[in-house]
Amino acid sequence: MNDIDFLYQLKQKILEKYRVHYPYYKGSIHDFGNTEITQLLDLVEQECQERVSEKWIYTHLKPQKNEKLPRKDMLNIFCRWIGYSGWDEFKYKIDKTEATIGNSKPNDSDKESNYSFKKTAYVALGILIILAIGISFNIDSSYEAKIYLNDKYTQKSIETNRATIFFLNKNEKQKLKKENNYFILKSNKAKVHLLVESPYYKTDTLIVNFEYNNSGNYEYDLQPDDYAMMLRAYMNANIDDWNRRKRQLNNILDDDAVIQEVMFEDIGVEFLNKQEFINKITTPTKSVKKMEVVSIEYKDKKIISLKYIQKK
Amino acid sequence: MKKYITLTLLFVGICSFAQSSQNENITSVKLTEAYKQKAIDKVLEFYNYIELLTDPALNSKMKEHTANEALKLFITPQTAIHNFFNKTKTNPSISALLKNATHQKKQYHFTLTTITATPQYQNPEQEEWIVTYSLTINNSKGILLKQNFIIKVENKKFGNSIKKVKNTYLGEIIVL
Repeated sequence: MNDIDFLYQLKQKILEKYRVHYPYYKGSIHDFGNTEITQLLDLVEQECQERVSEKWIYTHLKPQKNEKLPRKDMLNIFCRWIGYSGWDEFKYKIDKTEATIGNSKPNDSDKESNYSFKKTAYVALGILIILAIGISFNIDSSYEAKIYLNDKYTQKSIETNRATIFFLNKNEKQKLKKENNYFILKSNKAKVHLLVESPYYKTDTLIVNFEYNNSGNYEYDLQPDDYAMMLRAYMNANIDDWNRRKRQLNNILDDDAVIQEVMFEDIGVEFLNKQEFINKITTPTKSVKKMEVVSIEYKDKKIISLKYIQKK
Repeated sequence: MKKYITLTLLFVGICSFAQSSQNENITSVKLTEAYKQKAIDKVLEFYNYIELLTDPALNSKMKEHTANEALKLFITPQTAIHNFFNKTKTNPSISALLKNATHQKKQYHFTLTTITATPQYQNPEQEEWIVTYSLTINNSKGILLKQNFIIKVENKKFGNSIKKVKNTYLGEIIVL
């Protein structure tokens, strides 16, 4: 089983738990509409004290096919919601269940491999205990990570001078230090909430959980804030900035791109071609301000399909 | 025996038909709900364009761009519109109203309340809806308006390919 197969299993478990609360829902998770998504998000928030965005559900849970695995910290939230400690435990338990189903009648060679497995497990446990003792003498409670930001449209790295990341601690906001093309996060807490602000990208909240990912590197995608950029250009009558953004969008989008505004169960209510989309988002209306991209598909590093919703 | 088999098959057939018909109903309800929201959003978008257009600080190139975008919301440039800028004059076309908006010396602000959208009739190629709302212009007394919303199946060009899609447009605005 690969990670994507585990994700499909997770989706099934999420649906099962959702149905415990809403037994009259007969559709699949792919049929989730606005109402079901809101109900699911509320349930998760109530039980896990974590708020997942509607966009995340549209991008990762609703599609029938997933190309890549979502961020682990988000998977951890849903795994906790369905009763596991996190993604790793979920995968382990599912794998074990599959293995049990596949090997319900052990034969001699199974017994032998069981014995050898137990032996290896004891040795590994011994090593772990020794390591744990060693670490406890040298314990350092601080965590450190590098935070990389990418542009959601171009998938290119965002220069650190174009965004600011704040560490949120009770009522305080502390700026993270910048280095080369990343931000440095140092914390004594295992779970950290960060706030990203930028004149060019939509404000976003990031969650870093060192318990589930201690690789030291975190990457996040930010959605360009065309409304803010265009409003500034309009208010300052800055034709240069306005034209520059049009050119950038022209380069990002494939000539055959199809842009859709979607509602509820992926119902397309507006279909725009490349030029129409550029014209629309370079006009600072409230509808552009409320646009939230829910999925993007690329072809030769250009956007060939983009779906967005109007946030209420 | 044959009788029982026939009856069972008939029962299963009726149940599956009822199930598929129920699914179709759910989809149809969702579709109506989606276009209802789209109709309301489109009307609000139009007034937002007018607010931008009447901003005296906007330069001519940006006004031209905004007016073109507003015009694209409508089914034709000749669509008759309630005259927001001069109540005594007859209803101008949308293109004339947008031109007038660009020459305003003060910015207009609109507030829409009690907005509802109702489907009127449909055929496989086109649907027509009516959107009604109360419009307040610069804190003045609200006026009750009625506006058409049209959903039209059309061929649209996306680069080198042509796809059949449902396009949405606004229609005329009249005072109720």
